[in-house]
Amino acid sequence: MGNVSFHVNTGEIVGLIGPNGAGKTTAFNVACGFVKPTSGTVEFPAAGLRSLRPHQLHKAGVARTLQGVGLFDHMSVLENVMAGAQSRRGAGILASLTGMPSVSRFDRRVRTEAFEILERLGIAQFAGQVPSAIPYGIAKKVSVARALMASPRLLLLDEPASGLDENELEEFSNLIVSLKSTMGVLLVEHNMEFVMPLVDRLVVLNFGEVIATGTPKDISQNADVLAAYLGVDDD
Amino acid sequence: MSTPTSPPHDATHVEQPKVSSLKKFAAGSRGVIRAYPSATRIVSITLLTFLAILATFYISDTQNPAIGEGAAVAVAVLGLTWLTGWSGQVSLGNSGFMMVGAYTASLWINHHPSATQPSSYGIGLVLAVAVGAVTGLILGLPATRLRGPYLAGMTIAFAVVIPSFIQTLSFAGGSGGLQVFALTPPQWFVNFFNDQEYGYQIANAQWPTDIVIAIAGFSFLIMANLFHSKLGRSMRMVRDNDVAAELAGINLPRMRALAFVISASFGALGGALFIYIANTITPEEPFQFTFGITLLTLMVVGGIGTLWGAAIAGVVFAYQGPWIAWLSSHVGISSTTNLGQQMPNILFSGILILTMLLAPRGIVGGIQDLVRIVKKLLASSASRSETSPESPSDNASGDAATHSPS
Repeated sequence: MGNVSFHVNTGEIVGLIGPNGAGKTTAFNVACGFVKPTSGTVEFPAAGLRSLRPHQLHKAGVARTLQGVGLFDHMSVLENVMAGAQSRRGAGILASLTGMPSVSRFDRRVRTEAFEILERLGIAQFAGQVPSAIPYGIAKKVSVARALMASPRLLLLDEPASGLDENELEEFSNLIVSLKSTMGVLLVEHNMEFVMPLVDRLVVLNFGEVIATGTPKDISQNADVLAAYLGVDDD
Repeated sequence: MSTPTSPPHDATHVEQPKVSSLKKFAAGSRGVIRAYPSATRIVSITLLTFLAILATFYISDTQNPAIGEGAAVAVAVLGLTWLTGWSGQVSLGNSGFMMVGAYTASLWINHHPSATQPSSYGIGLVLAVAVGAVTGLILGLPATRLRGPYLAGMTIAFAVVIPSFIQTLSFAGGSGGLQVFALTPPQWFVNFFNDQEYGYQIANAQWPTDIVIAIAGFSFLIMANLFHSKLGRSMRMVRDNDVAAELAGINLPRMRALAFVISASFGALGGALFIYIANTITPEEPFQFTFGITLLTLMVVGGIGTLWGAAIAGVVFAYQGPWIAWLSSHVGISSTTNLGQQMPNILFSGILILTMLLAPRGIVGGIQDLVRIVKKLLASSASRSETSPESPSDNASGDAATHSPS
């Protein structure tokens, strides 16, 4: 990848699109610290931080979902959502060893909060089930619920529409729009019908470079983008 | 946003139209357990420990040391179940941690002026745990970069190297090993029991067993607390999906190393407790490399990742002697023959194969499956008896929230 530069503001939804092999997931992984860039930096100006490793993202208020659902198979839906609060300061190791009341208090607080998020997303009835027992669309929402537990300022969604049917796509789209008021959203997605009406701005990658940025309307008329997607010649 | 209702702890929270007294009691008990989880753990584990100690008063003096050794092994299995069952890291070398703990405690007791004082044994345990933790850290740091067979290979190498290394240490007795003074009961304890009207004579062998059971019970309480803490959840997250765990803010190398440190501490404690019963340790016996395989077998047989599994593992280990004797006599193998001497390995291998075939989740998992089947059968028979032609609509209870996790 080279010459890749883009930003996401709070209150906007940005789509990162491009043909297969364009470098979308690599760009995502660089942003999250899974891949170290050979040059350049990833900055989180709101938190005054840069080039964080994946486990440090929470310090910058960044949460990310994974391709597929990426849930913890042997934990209930509620525990999966609670897992989003692992970065919070809880009881220390000594308190954990001795089972001090602070451990239970922390657990109760996080449990209640996780349940509230499940209720907000309308999936609280699945709280006690394990991921393998719930529909795929619900599992996708659970992964978003887990990300929301971190109270993010920036939410990164990796192919949120994959595997969803039409109704689920509409629900998911509404959910993402509802999050916009409190955070920025950056999503990588192949499904253009899902992305175009949803995002405020698009960043288009091809062969590891940004070939266009702009509103969905601008991008849909951009010759380079059309060429990249459809193989249409500029002439 | 609507006011949230109380979040469920499991998926079995079901509103029943008709509730029997027994069900009311069960529901009330569950409420208490949810409200006071730490207190519930303390009370239940203390009670079980007390019952285990009480049982030693009714077990023969010859069997009592085996019970003590079983309790010590249960502590070591607890460490292994934390490492393998909860953090998902395979180890075949936890016998090495037991050896480290056993030698540390033995050296302290042997080289300390007040060696026969009970405090020496206590300090010996603390040192064993500390040295075990440091050993776990040393092994855990490179383990953060290894997975699967490579990690297993490293732990095997550790278990093989430790005895050879200790053999070179003259202050540790070389190949001859070390002897530890037997723990003797304090006079007040002997007087208390021997002065009773029923004339109970407490045997010296029972005292160390009771002490080891008490410490094992405390270890189970500590591990139960860890299982239910934020740290316990972090371990399970790393085991299930390390990428998602890292994104949730977990430092993977630190967490994996910490899993080794905790596992090694419990392994070392188990080794030290074992020696307080066996009183002898050499680089060859009892914590040779194959003992690590035995620990793994016991964990699988009991049930990976459960406290009950570790407790059952201890019981299986404690009673292997009588079972081997029974098996040998029934198949006509003398214990003096080569084959007879290999009976423990044959027995554990056989149990492991049978467990894998019949109950892959171990005895605990098998019991849980059995209970689930019985519950389903009872529920289906109850619903059949409740459903009558007059009330055909009474069976609409199968909403998603009541489904048990599969």
